Amino acid sequence: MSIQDEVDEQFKILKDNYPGRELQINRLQCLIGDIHQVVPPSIFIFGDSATGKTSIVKAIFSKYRENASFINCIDCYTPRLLFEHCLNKLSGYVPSPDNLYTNYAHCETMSEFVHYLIEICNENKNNEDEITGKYLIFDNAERLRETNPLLLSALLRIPEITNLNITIILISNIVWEKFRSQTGVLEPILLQFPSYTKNEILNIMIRDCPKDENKNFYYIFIELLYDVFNKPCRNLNELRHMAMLLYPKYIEPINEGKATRNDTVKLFKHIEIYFKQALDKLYLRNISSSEWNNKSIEDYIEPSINSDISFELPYYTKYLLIASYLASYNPPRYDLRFFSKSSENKRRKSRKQEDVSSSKKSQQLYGPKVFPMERMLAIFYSIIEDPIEGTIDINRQIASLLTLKLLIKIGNTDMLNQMKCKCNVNYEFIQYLSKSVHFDITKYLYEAI
Amino acid sequence: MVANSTINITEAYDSLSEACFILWPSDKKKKNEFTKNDGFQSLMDKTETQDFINQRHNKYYKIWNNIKSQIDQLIFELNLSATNEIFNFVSSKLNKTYDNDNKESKLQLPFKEIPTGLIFSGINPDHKRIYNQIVLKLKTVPTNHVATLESKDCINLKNTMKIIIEQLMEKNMTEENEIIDTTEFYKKSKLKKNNKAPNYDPYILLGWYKHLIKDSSSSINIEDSLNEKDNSKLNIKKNSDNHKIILFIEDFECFDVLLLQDLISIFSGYSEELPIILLIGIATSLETFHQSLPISSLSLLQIEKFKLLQSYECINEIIEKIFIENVDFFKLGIKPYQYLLDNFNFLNLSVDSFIRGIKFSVMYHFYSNPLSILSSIDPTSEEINVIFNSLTKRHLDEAKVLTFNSFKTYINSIKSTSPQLVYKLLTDDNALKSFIKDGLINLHNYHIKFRVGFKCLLELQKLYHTPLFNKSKRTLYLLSLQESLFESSHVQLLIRRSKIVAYPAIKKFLKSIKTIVNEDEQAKQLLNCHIKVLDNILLKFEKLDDEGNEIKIEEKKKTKKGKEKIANKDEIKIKKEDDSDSKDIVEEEKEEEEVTEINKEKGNEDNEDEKEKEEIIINDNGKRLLNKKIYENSSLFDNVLKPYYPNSNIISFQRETKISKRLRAEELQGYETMIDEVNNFILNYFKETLKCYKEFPFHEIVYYTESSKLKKSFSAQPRSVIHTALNYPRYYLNCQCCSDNDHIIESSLHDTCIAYKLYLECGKLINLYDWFVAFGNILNDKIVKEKQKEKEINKRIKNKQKREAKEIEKEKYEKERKKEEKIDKNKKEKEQEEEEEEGKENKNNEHDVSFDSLLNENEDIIHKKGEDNSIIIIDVDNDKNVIKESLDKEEEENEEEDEEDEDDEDEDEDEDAFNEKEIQARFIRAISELQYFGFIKSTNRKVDHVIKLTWGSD
Repeated sequence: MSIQDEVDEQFKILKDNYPGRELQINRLQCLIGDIHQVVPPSIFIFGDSATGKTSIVKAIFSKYRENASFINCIDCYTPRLLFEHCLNKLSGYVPSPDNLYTNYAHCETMSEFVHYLIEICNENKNNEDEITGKYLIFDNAERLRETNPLLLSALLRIPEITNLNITIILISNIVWEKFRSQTGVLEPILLQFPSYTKNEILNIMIRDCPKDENKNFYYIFIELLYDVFNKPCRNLNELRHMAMLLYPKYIEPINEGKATRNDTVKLFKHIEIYFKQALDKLYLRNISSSEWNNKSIEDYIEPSINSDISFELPYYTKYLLIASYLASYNPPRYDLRFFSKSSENKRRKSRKQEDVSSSKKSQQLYGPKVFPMERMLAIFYSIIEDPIEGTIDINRQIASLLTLKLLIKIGNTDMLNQMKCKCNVNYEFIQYLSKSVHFDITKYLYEAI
Repeated sequence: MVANSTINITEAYDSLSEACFILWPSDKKKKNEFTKNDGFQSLMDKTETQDFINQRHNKYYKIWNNIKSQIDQLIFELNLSATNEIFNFVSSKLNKTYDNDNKESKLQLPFKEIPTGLIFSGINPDHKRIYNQIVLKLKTVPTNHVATLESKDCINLKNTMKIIIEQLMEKNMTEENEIIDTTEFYKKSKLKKNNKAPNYDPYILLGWYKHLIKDSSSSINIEDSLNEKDNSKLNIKKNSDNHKIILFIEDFECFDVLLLQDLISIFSGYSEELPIILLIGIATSLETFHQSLPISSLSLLQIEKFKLLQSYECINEIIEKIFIENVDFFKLGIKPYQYLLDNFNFLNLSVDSFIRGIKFSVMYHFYSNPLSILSSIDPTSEEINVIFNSLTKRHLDEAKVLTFNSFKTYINSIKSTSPQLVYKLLTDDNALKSFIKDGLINLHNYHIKFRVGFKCLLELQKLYHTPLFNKSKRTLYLLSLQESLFESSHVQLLIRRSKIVAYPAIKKFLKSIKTIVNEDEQAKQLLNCHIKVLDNILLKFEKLDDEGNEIKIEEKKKTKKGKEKIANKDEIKIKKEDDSDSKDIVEEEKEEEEVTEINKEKGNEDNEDEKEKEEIIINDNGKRLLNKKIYENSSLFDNVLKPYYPNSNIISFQRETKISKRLRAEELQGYETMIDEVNNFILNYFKETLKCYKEFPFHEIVYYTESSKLKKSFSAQPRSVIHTALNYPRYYLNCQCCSDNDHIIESSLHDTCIAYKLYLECGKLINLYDWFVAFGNILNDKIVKEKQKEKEINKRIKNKQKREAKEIEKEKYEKERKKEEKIDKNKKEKEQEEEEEEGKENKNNEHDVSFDSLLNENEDIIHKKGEDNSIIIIDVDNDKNVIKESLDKEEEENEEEDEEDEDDEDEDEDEDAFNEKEIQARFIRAISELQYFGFIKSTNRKVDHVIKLTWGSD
């Protein structure tokens, strides 16, 4: 079978395998499907994540043998890696112990790259090959902008510079407008992969139906799933993941003999709890499939809220963190009111309410404010019940809070004397902490929540 | 003469600037002696012989090594389960993914999830040890390739890849070192690396991995050359499955999040070709993990969670193992133990620092205590006799002093009963010796009993399922050191509550006591009488088992149905009376009254009976009811006892217990009769076993009771130390001249201290010139006084000479002498005037003295003085000259004024000018020292001001 036939065949398979992407596949076939023709200089493929961009392009070019180099730009964090990977792929060179893990060539600059590219193309010309074009594909192309501002424009001009039959294909989540910041960028052919519609998603997901399962029955399940998860999540991959996790639970009553396949309502009721759970933990992937299977139903009904946030801290460290939270969210001018030992609370309380009403915006919404270390320590010594001496241990704990990123250091790190920090924990966690040390945080917080 | 004295001063000053010598001990032998035995020195006023020092030294090593190996072993065992869990995860995970591939049962996502183990280590800073253990365990399988990543090494992606690739590949290289080809290749590659900056990219890893598979498959081919082709193919498949690349990210929090994202997406891209497993150590919580990584990265991970042993549990086990289970061993007294525990609970949760504290305590115990040679050996053994025989009189005297507290209380306690013994102990050394030995044996026995008692106490705690009654081992041990554990409110409560524990639980508990005691041979002997009582009880229980249990169930049913109560009534009464022997008469009466009351009620009205039933049913669950009460009344753990004491509760409580007792009597006549017996046993048993170490004389020999050294060594207080040093230097300098008075700044203080005291009086911004003037005023007093003294001395010498001359030429010099006296007077007056003037002038003239330039000048002066020795050359700013000029001007002004005085004052003027310079230099040195300490720093806001740093200004 000639390569052309293989490619045609591949396109056909793709159209079957990717429902809802026929238009885009056709377009691609028109552009690069004929391996004998002259290829367009550059194509820019964009669309949301999980719309099939990468997998379709990858599948197409799997048939192009060594004439296409598919490169993930995250892998190639330096231009040198990018170039050398391209050359390796195009020349079919694989680093191995036999060649001391070297690359096809040492290539650090664009001009070198162009040189070697021409070299490779000329080599291949000698072989009688059907494919005339070369294809350089860059996945996650938005990364190309970061490494070197001129890299992208240079890459897009490669066909022009080399005078060869080369196509540059860029794949990205971002629209082309965001790439235009540099000058000298050639406009590529744009090809959008739009988000799937509901029908398309269901059509794709039905393909995951287990072999021994009735398609209609499975369709009911995924439709239900889609309706539940539709609003927070349109990501196909995530939905498929959820379907995979939840389907065994869905058919559990049937396997146990408690329900039949026609008891849709009963099954709905059974799966409802799991759906709720899954909605809470959507995207987080903190329940792996194995754990999910092992968990009993009780765990879902009474989920321990704190299980995710709880971890042990030493007693004083907890207070340190609480103090830094207070320092971050209380305005400094009220420190005297909250932390002075004198009992002028009554007058202050009345004033406090006025203040809160007058400043309408919540302190919480502003986020944590920067505070100097000294202020935090002053608050710390005032809220802690037993008198303690300022030993080196306290400073050590502050340092360890910094490494845990519970406190964030702001400003010049060299400044030893005026260290400024921000508190990096949320109210929920602080509440949990203060509960564990029997400290009433609301008494001291400017805005009790 | 005066000029002479100035010369003297300058000479002294010269030497002052050059006085920066380090004096090495000249005597080498002395040095050796000092470091011999790790610095263990002769104690007891140096009367201790070398032999004893060696004994102490060796013992320290023996004990510490013993403790260390025990702890290491313990921690290893404690972590074993977690390690195995992770190991199983790793070994199961990859096979699974491959199986999945083969079966194709699960849906195929366009990307593959990387199996990821999240290891929650807690924030204790010593998880490194556990990580090493895990890595070692993982490496036991040769096909596991582990790369550990630490945040400090992984600055950027390039760096990280480099570390990963080097760790994975070089390990492989060294493994194959035997084969010549590969070693040569390794050398080559090294050379190559040197020649050309290597390009660390994942492709290399891929190539290496493919090579690895090929290698292993070829080796298998050789091995299985006899087998058929299909078979070997299968083997290849198997082998390639087994190769795993494990990336261990040790401290997730410290990693750059973007770097991790990239790393994850890179490896997920290769996950189809490379079998990669991620292990991520997280100190905080899952939430932080979710917050720091975006969805795109999270969705690439297949997460499983592992919890490592929390340090709380670890410390509990260590305490039990080291301090409770070891009998003749090193023990911590209350103070050091409390200090270490507080440090752990409040400050760091670090097991390692706890261990460090123990090590220090062991070391110091043997370092400072001459009698420590008697500790940590079995006092019943022969070995101790040898040591006892070798003890000197001095040792025994020391024993009286060292163990003063416990010895004194003991002497006082027996003073009245057996005065002869007291006399003997205080005078006869041999009696004391044997007495000390007896004391040690007592302690030894106590430790054995305590070990058993402690275990039983834990069992007793287990009877109650509420967290209120369950204290951790570390707190219990703390209680036991503070006071007698038996008398502590917690244990008292537990014992009291044991009365209302259901029969089967009590039975189980007593049986467990028996097994615990029986397991311990030594304790079995010591607690013989208690065991007998226990056996007795258990024997009775056995009878009950046949009848009691059966009856109990039936009776329960009966009570619930409310039938046959009247029939039982008489029986109950009899039983009650039987029991009442041991009870208070008042209680008995009350009870009887109640019983009769209830009986009446029951007899009279059926409705009442029903009510009673309800009550009983509630009381049937009496325990739960009580627990609830306790929960309501006590918000804190410490208040457990509260509900038992307030008057309002007592009545209801008594009532309940009585009712429940009665109830039990109805149900379980057999056990009811024994409740008190059992309770008595429990009381006596714990009274015997859970004593406090302080009750025993000579416990100071075995226990290390000092905590101040620990505090000093481990909890440094930099702020307060510097404050005291500067504010009250006499504590450090050991000089008598300065008082503690805060209000007066004495001139006799050290310059830096004077500057610091003045500094304390200042606000946020300090005007350097004001500071300088104040400093100068204080110093001037001193300098003037000193000078005057000097002059007087000079004068006296002069006078002497003159007197000699006077005899020869009396008349000739009379005039001159008068003149001199006059001058002296004038000088005094002038000086006073001058001071005042200076003060005024200084306040009026606002000199722009920039701090830095003053500093420079100071250095300049020092350099001029010590030019020969100077090594550092410091640029002198132009500012300096300006200031110098301005100061010069000032001096000139002074001089001008001075010139109005008499001609003879010239010398004094010189001196004053010199004083001024000296003060200036000293001031600058003082403030530069303060700057070095971090009290002040220069500010850009005002040139002539320094900013006071808040640190230390409180």
